[in-house]
Amino acid sequence: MDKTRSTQRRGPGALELNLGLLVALIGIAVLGPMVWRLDPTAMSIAERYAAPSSAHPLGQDNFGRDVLSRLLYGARTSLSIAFATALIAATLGTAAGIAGGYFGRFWEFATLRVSDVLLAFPPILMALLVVALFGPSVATLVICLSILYVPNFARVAYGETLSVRRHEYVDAQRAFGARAPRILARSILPNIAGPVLVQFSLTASHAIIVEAGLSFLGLGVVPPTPSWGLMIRAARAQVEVNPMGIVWPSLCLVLTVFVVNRLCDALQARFNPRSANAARASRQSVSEEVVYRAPEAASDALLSVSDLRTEFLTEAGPVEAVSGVSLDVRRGETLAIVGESGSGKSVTALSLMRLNERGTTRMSGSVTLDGRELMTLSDEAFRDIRGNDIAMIFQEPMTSLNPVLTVGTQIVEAIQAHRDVTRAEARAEALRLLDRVRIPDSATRIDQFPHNFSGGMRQRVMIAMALAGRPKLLIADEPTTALDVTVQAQILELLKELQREDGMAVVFITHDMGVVAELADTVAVMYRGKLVETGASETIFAAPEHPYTRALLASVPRIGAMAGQAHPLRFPEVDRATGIARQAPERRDTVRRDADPVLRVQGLVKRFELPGRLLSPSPGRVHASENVSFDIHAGETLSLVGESGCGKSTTGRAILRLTDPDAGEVQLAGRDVTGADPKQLRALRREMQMIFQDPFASLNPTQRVGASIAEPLLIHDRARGAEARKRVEDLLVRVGLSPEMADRFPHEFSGGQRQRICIARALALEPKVIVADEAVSALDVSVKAEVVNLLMELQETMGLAYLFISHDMAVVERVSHRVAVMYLGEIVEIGPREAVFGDPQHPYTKRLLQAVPVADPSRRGQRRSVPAGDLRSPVRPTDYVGPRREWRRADAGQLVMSWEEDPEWAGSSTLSVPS
Amino acid sequence: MLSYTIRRCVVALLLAVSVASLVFFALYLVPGDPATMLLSVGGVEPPAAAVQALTEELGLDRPVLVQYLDFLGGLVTGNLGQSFANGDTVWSMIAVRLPRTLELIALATAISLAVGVPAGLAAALRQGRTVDRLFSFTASVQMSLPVFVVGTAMVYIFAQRLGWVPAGGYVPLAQDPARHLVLVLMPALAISVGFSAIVFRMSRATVASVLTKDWVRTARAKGLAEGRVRRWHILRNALGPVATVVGLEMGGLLGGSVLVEYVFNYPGLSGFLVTAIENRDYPQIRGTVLVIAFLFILLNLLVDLLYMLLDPRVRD
Repeated sequence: MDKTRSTQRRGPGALELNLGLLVALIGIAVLGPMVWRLDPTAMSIAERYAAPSSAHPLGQDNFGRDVLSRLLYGARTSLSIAFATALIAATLGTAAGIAGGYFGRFWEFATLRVSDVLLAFPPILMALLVVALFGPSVATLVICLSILYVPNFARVAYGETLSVRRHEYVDAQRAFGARAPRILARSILPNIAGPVLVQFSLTASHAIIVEAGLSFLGLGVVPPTPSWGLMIRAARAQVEVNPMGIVWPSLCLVLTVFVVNRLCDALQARFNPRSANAARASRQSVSEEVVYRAPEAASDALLSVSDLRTEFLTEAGPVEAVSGVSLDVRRGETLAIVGESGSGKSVTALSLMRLNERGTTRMSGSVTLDGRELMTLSDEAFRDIRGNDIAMIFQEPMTSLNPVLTVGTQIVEAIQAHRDVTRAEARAEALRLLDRVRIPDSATRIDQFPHNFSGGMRQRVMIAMALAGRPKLLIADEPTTALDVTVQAQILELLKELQREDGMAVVFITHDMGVVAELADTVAVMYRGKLVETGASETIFAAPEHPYTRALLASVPRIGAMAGQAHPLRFPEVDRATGIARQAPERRDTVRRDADPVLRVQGLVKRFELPGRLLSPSPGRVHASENVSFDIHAGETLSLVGESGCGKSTTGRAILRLTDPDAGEVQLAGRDVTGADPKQLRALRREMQMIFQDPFASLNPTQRVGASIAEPLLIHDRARGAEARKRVEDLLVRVGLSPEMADRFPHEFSGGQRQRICIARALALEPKVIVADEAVSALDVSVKAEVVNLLMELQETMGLAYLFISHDMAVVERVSHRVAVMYLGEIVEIGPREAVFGDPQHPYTKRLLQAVPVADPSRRGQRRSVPAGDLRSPVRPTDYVGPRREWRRADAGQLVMSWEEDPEWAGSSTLSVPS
Repeated sequence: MLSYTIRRCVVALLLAVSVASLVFFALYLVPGDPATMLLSVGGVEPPAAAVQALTEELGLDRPVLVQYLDFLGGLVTGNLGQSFANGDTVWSMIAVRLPRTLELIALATAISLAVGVPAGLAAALRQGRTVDRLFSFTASVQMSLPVFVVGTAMVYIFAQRLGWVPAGGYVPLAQDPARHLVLVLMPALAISVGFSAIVFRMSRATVASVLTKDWVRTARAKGLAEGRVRRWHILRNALGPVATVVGLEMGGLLGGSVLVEYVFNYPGLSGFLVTAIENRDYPQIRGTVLVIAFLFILLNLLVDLLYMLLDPRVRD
């Protein structure tokens, strides 16, 4: 799916309209009394309750005072109290919230606990108490209300700061040595401004009502100061005599509050992407529009799709996501649909299930299952196909299960939706299904909730649910993309087994050519909504015909393809039009082995204490990084590989001191990093930069990219003004972008372009070492190849040293000089790339390499089956003392941690496995 | 689960102590002699004899710490002191009026839930269509109507003009059930105008956000009937945030019902507080404020525990 986040504009602005109205109201309050110069307190008892006249257009009140002038002055009172209150509360609350969210510790405790105490008083009650003590007055009211509203701002600002702080652009700013005030001003404040503004208008509207209410009770504004609340109070007593007396101030009050409320809603819609989506999804009808078009030829396949088209109705008009796809799937066959982001492969899968967003989708074509036409079925009749004849599993096992229902309930309801069985029978069946997908201890697990399961286990639950209706066809939409590679191997293995047992056909949607080669009988390649090539798996891999398929396959890193290569190798450059790949030239040796290592890490330790509960001590520590040591030379790439939770990212962050390590030593070009004071550290940060994983989170969305790239230069006083501008343009050119892009905002760029911008920013200070934390993992295959090539080219020209942190073994093989394998916080094997990949020693390294699917169908089935079970957790008891580790040097040259004593690996052979 | 419950209870208890301390020391935050301050009206210096008498009556001449411990001890034993007005204990006067306010709030909440939740669900399922726009607009108008304006209008129209209902007051249930109901219903409806709009907006927003969740798609992929998808996979997941907002609003009403009680001349607890303020009956004010704040904390505790029942992730 297209992940570009563009700012959604709602039609001609509800925001502008209400803002205009509010400005008009304020204008009336400020200017009105200057124009209408009657004294609101001048009494004239003779004219009490006088009807409207030219001198008094709205009449006179019980003291003969001019109503219009009282209303105008009342507006002043009301609005000035509301804005003064909101402003004071916003300033104090936002400051406290940011301090609590950014600095944590004491500030966090103080902000949250003081807020709790203040929030324990209902606002009106607190105001009454204060009035009781101090007596009513405008000043009392403003001070009291301000204090009451502070916690609301503090909580909003705190929560937003926490979420902004997690973004990688804040880490990036810290990594190039920005001080806290700059980070707060440039990154935090602009990005939390939206929600704070919403809170501001909410508070203002609330304050208007509370002021009026207290004045109405006689406990707010003191007469003779005019106030709408006081006017209503006075008029209420004489409502029989003068009904209009109550109408005018009420109307003013309601209108003002209404305008501020609407403004608040409009602000919310502007700043909350979720409600913007809701606005975009307007004009929804209840169901999808489905049009049947007869196929040109009948087919005897199980599933036959003919000329399927899917359009999304957007504000800019219909957008075709799937353009005339035709394909057949035979019984028991596996068809893989492959393509990059936005190719329409997922939409095709969802269309087959009629699960696209309702009301905004239009589908046409023909889909037959077992000869039965599905497109002509009503929604109700189609419901019986779903989960029964065709089942589906999805990409995100973490979010695809309902968190508040037990997994048993969710499987049982799937069974009962299609079969007339009792609850007890359905439960027995659910247990059998959990056993079939090999969930250990299913009798206990069936009554647990999804959050008690790991990602891999949840995907097994999803599969069990899909099997509930004994489907003829299973559609799997990227089912292993979110999983670790060893878990992925288990799930793929399970799917193959189930398919063998049930003879079920599978449509497998994926972007991973390795998975395709592993599973598929037939492959369908999609590009921009069209099917560009279909064929048997072997044929597609061996002799792709369409240029796009050729380009795609040329960009795919294949593990094992680097055997015999002395140095890292760039990806071939592919001509998109012809699909012809030009092999990259051999690289020279970039490693400066003659000099001392530029980065030296010795015995690095980082542990995270798990939070304890009340009266109970911490249940343990996460051993994220345990005694990690390595060197990197200038011009060298060391890759740090491992699965999620192995501590590879923490190690990278600890080296840059984005988190402070607990022990160990890091030396950068001979200078101590771990012991550096803040000033020394800032100087050191010029030499060492970081590139992050998520290209959408690592650039500040409120800053032009030119400003982002220039920031390190400004902080370190390397360049200013026109010179900085020139440097930014040079950097953009250097990473393959054009200079004028400096004036654009991050959301105008694609993922690959953003990653280039991040590289430009990291290069601004001409560092010696770059830590690239999963820097290409989120990118599509072809974009990934381009960015990797850029990194390698920069290494050649600038002599950069990379610490390349990645879980993608195939890319690692391509880029690395040396490789370190991490497992549960420790490096278990480290050495030259050829040694680690060609002759792995440690059982974990072997397991990891075996689990990687190879993008070559002829090598299918050569892998050993991977033991089932979850990844082990790096959490240890607080009193845990690690075993003494022994190291030995293997024949191929790598250092390997000995494992023979470790019960986990007992029985693992010391022999290497032929790859 | 037990650990969570205990933790929430301990936090609530600590909060109650903090709030009580704040209320106690609030008197000493005011510059000058507390007794003088309590007796002075409109800046007029009270007679020294009166100040002396009050100081002795409240025990203000004792060390502050002794007074504080005495005050906390009183709270534990349920002794909130004596009212200035007629020498009754503060608690006895609260005990008469508190149930009336609670009844009013409960009724208003019931009405608001009965209207707001179904309307919110209906609007969220038809986002952007006429029903949704109509409901949403009505809700924002309702939210702009201050409760005392609504109440005053209701009294004027239904009691004074049409004469359908009494203008206000209170009759015990045992004495005249029908009249009792009408007299509670009027202020409850006035409260519900704004309250139901808040419930509606929260229900609509939460349901709209749950609708986009992957598990709803999973439920449909299983072929579940639409009714089951809505009840078990949409509404069931939307209840938590709605419960939180309802709890907060109910808490707000504990003090906020003062306006509506005043308008409808309803002898509840909050309206009583206004009288106490006008009479400068300090023990009475302090006692009432404390009781309301404690109820507020208790209510939040109940919401937290309810949330735990609704969402298993909170339990572990």
